[in-house]
Amino acid sequence: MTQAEDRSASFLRGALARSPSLRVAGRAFSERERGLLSRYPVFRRRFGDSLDAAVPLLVMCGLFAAFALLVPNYLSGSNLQQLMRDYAEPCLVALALGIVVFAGGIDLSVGAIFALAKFTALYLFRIEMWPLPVAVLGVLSVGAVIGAINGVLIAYLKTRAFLTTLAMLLILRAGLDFVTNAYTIELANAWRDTEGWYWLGAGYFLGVPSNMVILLVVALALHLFLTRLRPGLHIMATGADRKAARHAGINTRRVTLLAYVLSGLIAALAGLFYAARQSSAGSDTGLGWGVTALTAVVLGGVSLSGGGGSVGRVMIGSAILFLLMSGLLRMNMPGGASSALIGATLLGAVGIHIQWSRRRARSRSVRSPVSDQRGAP
Amino acid sequence: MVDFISGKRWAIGLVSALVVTWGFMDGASHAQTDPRSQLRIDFDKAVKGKTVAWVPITMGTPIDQIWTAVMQSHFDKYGIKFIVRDPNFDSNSQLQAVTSLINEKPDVLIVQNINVSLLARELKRAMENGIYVIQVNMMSNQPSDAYVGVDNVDSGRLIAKDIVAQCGGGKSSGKVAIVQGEATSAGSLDQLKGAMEVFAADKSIKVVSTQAANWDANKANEITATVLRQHPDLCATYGHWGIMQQGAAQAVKAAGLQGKVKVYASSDGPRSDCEMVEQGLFYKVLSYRADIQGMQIADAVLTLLQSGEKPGAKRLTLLSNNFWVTGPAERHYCYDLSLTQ
Repeated sequence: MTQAEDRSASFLRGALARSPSLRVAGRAFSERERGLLSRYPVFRRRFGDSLDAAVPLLVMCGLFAAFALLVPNYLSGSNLQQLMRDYAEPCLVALALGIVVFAGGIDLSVGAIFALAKFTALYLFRIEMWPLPVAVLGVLSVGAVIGAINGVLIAYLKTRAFLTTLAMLLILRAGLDFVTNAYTIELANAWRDTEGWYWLGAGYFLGVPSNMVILLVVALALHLFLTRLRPGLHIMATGADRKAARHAGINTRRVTLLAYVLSGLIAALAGLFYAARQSSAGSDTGLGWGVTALTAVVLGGVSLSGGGGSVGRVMIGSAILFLLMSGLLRMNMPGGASSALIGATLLGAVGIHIQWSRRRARSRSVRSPVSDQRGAP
Repeated sequence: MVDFISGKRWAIGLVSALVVTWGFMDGASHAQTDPRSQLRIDFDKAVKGKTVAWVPITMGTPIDQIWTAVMQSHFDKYGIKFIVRDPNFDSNSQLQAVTSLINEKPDVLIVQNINVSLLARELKRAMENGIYVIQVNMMSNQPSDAYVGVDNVDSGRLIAKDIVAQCGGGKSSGKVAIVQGEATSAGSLDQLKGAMEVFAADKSIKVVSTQAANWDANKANEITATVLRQHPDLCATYGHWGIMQQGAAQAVKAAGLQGKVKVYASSDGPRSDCEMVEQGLFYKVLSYRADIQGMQIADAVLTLLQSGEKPGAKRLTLLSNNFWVTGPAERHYCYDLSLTQ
């Protein structure tokens, strides 16, 4: 093994020790590097990893079963449809945050982008009377543009993701308050409805609510993108170890920008459906959704340090939180208590997550040298 | 002959059947002869065991607590099941609460709309699903079986007229600031509409600020403090809800303008609003007395359950009265929460 190969391998090993999911992302690397990868059994999937993925899934199923027993008519068709309808938008917002987290960043402004998209949808469709397809494009481009601003600032101007998106959150919310105030009366009295708009807000496709159909399509597309397509693999690789990814020839700046643009796009999509469903110009839209999305991402077992996680995990995390909140609401839990519970859940999930990854890191450092020896030529 | 006999038997059978039926009916009508007892029997038949679901904006304010307490006491008495869902000021939770309740099919659904559009589609769906819908104090764009509450446009006019009388005609700078609640709620939209009608008709009045504090006293405080810095000669500030406007009153006091800037509020009549008037922090409040509204809501429920109408068939409107509170003499227009506990 040449010295260069050795260095490259050690970079990769470092990255992969942090993130088992990079094994898949490994495809993005060159043949030579892939050859290196295959020689280290440490990269093989471990039982612990599957367990890690199974716990949130079990919690989700457990919660669903519990509420099915406790809440009357929980399993009725109309209730299941309603649950899906209410679940879709928060889950899309969680995915919007998830993709940035996969890329090793953070986006506190997803809730505000979502809210601004909702306002834009109502404004373009109901006040400006744009045709629906044009209005939809308008809404999505608002999301993409805000995502792009976040992305350029963070990737190219090297601002800190946390502070940048926090500032974006504040700016967007202030702007939103301003425009909501300016158009309150028009929005409250506007009452345009077309078949397409109605379908977005209340329609079904084969009995599945429209927004859930779109969520499934987006989730599937995003999953394939992140696991099968080069730019998606690059996102995961950049999140796992920026330095290693750069050494492997990935344009990490462009990848980061891409992640933020996609995030803005997905958050805007959620805002569009929410606008059609609620038709509500209320100024509290999206307040706290950033925190909810973050909680969902963590609950799904996605590492906030990037590179790990999957679309499925974010969806499961989002479902856990959603089932908990909607279930408690149905069981007449006082409102303040539910909010406190979100906080406690987030704290608990983060705590468990840290303990879990520490333990795994320890077991890995004990086992790794042995595997390395066996795997080395 | 055979036919004749069987015909006779038939006739005898028929006559005896009639006699027996008559006897029974007579017996039954004996039980009905006491109309006073029958009243309660019919009432219980219509309301007992029915389910009423209530979705306020939050359970964290006196107005929602007094409504709930008054309704609870009525419904407990008549054997009506009462479900409360608390969205805690969150529109998404309110929508979820209402959609899940529609699946649970209560007999009556009572809502206090966070804004005019959020629940519109769901309230229509509720009525289509055979649920009576009552809206309280803040209407949605979707009319329903009953509206119980204040005429917000009228409150806006009444308060604005009083402000014009105090500030207009060159008596002062004529500057007025309006503190809205949630700008998209009927409570704010309609009060603003009524007030602006009156202000627009009087040239001596200048509305220098209309900002939404989202029912939050802290935000009302910040907004008012800023307005006072720009317009220290402000004549009056008008808040769309007493509890929120208390924040504005504190800002006026902090700016050393207590007594100079007249603080008005539309109020549901919690004790603290009357105390603010007595301390001179509020100039005047127009109370609509939420405790009485609680009884009106309960009455609307009982009326609908006994009406025999199909949900969505008719529209019932029960408006609240308004009472000016200007000093200790009118303190009985406020309610005490402790009395309900």
